Amino acid sequence: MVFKEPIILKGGDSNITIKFGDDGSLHLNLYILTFEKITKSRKPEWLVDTTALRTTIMLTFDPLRIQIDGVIAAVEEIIADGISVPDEYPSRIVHLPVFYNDPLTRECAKCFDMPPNLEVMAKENCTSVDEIIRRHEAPEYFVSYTSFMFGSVGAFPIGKYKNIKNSKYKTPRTWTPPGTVGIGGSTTAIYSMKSPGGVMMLGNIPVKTYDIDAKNKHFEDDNLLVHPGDRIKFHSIDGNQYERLKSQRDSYSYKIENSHIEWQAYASM
Amino acid sequence: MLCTIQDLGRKGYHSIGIPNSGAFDQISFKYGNAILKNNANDAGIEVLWGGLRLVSMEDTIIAITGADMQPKLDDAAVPMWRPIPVKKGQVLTLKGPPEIGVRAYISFAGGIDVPDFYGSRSTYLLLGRGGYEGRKLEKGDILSSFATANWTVLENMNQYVIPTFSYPWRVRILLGLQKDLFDAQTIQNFGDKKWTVTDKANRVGLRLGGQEVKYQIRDNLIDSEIGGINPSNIPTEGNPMGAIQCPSETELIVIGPDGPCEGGYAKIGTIITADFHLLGQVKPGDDIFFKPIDYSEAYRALHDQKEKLSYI
Repeated sequence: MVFKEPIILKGGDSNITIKFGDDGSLHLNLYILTFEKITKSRKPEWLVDTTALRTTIMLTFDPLRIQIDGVIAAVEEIIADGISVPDEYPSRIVHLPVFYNDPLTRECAKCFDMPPNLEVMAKENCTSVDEIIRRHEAPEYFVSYTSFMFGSVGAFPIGKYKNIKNSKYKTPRTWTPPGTVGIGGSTTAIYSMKSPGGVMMLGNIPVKTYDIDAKNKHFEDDNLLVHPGDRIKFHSIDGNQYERLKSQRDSYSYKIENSHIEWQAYASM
Repeated sequence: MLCTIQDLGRKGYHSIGIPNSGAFDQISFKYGNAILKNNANDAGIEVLWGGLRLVSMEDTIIAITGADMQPKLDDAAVPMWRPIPVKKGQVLTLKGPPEIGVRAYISFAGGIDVPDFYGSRSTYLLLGRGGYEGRKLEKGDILSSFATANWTVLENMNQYVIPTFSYPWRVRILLGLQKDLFDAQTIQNFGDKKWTVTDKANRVGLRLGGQEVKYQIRDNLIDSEIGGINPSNIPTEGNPMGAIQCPSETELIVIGPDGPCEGGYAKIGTIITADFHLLGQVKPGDDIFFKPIDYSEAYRALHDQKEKLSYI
C-alpha cells in the first residue's frame, strides 16, 4: 500500500527521505523504484544521488544550489504528475547456494559476545533453528536495494511464505564475514565484503556477488550480480559443497533465469 | 599512521553501495588546493596522526593544511597553510601527533596522478579501490603529480581566513530523521550533553559514548515488522554522511565518508554540511558537543564558509 500523502523527512541540509508507505510490499517497492527512475530522468540540476529502499527513498542534493524547501516542492510536483507502476517489471531469478548455520558466522557472533544468531532468531520467532532455515530457504526474494556496500543485497520474501522477523544487534559488529546472509526485521541481507553490520547472521554464500576485475567471466559486462528488481532463490548446501564452490568461485557458473514480475499477482498474498 | 590519497570524493553511486569517500576534513583539503591554485578536486595525501617522511624526486610546490604535525623540510620547520617550494632530494617530515586534530593534508602543484575510480581518485579502503592501488600508502611507494604549467601560488594570503580548531569540539546539527522516536527529554537536552569518542573511530564511522539517549515507547508495529523489534530498529533507509545513528541507548555512531550508504537504526540528527569536516579531526578520547540549530542557520553557515574560502 502506498500512502495517499507521502511523509517527507528532513535529514539535514543536503538530503530528504521520502516515506511512501510502510507495509514493505512488492507494489510499494516497485512504486519507489519507478519514482526514482522518473526523478532521475528529469535530471534536476540539484540532484546528487538517490538511495531507494523498501519503504523510503533518500534524495541527496547540492545544498549550495538549492535549499531543502525547494527540493520538497520539486518532489511534490513529481508526485502530483503521477507515478504509475508498470504491470510487468523485468525481473531475473538468480539462484544462490547458502551454507546455513556455518562456522564462519557462528565464530563471528562469538567474537562480538553474541550467542549463535540463529538461536536468537529461533527464540524471537518461537520456533527451532531448523525451522528458521526451512522458512528462509523456501520462498523467492525480491531484491529491493544494493546500497549498503558494493555487491551487497537487501531483499524480502514474496509469494506464500512463513515470515521470519527478528531484532538487530544493539551494538553493531565492526566486521562481518564476506558472503554472510542475515536478517534484520524481515529483510534478508547479503554482506559482500568485510564490513560493519547489525543484522542477525544465519549463513554464508561461497560465491561472489561482485567482481570488479571480472576474474569470473560472468562479471565481464557487469561487475554486480544482482540489481534492484531481480529475484533471488537460495539453495541450502553443506560444508563440503561450500568449500568446493568457494575454491571454484572464479569459474563458478551462475544459474540465472530471465523473467519478469507482475506485482498484481502478489497483491493479495 | 594511515596515509591515503583523497580528493573531494565520488558522487551518485549510493544505489550500488559506493559511498562518497574523499578527504574527511574537506575544508582543510580545499584550502590546500586553493593555496596552490590547483583545481578544487585535485588529489592530495590525507595523513592520520603523523609519522610520515617523503623524499622529493623532483622540484615541486606543496601546501600542508589541517592538523599541525610540526612539518619540517630537511631540518627546518616549515609553515602550515602556505605554499612551500620543495627541491629535488629534500625530505619532508610530518612528525605528529598533533595537539588538536588528527588529519593533515599535503597538496601538490598539479595534484597526484592516480587512476580514476567511479569519478574520483579517493581511496576507498573497504573495497580496496581508488587512490594508490586501492590501499593505504606504504614505505617505498612512488607517487607522481600531474604536470602543471601553473607555478603561481598564493603569495599574500589573507591569514584571517585560515581555519582554526578549538577544543572541545562544538558541532552543529539538524535534528531528525527519527527524532520522534526519542523521548522529549532526550531531544531537549541533546545539545547539553558531552559525548566522548571511543577507540572505534575511523573513516567508516565514529562511535561515541559516555551519555545516554532514551527512546519513546513504540506504537508503530508495522515499522518494527520490517525494521526489527528493538526500539532503535527502523526499516533500512538512506544514511546521509554525518548522520548520527543511535543503535542503542548508550552509543552514537556518526556516519563517516566511507560509511555504509544505508542503515536500519534510528538517527537522532545529522551534522550540518558546514561542520562535517570537524569530525575528520576528532580522535579517540575527545569530547564533542552537538548543538541543534535551524535550517536557515545551516545554510548561512555553508554560504559563509564558501565565501571565506574565496577570500583566501
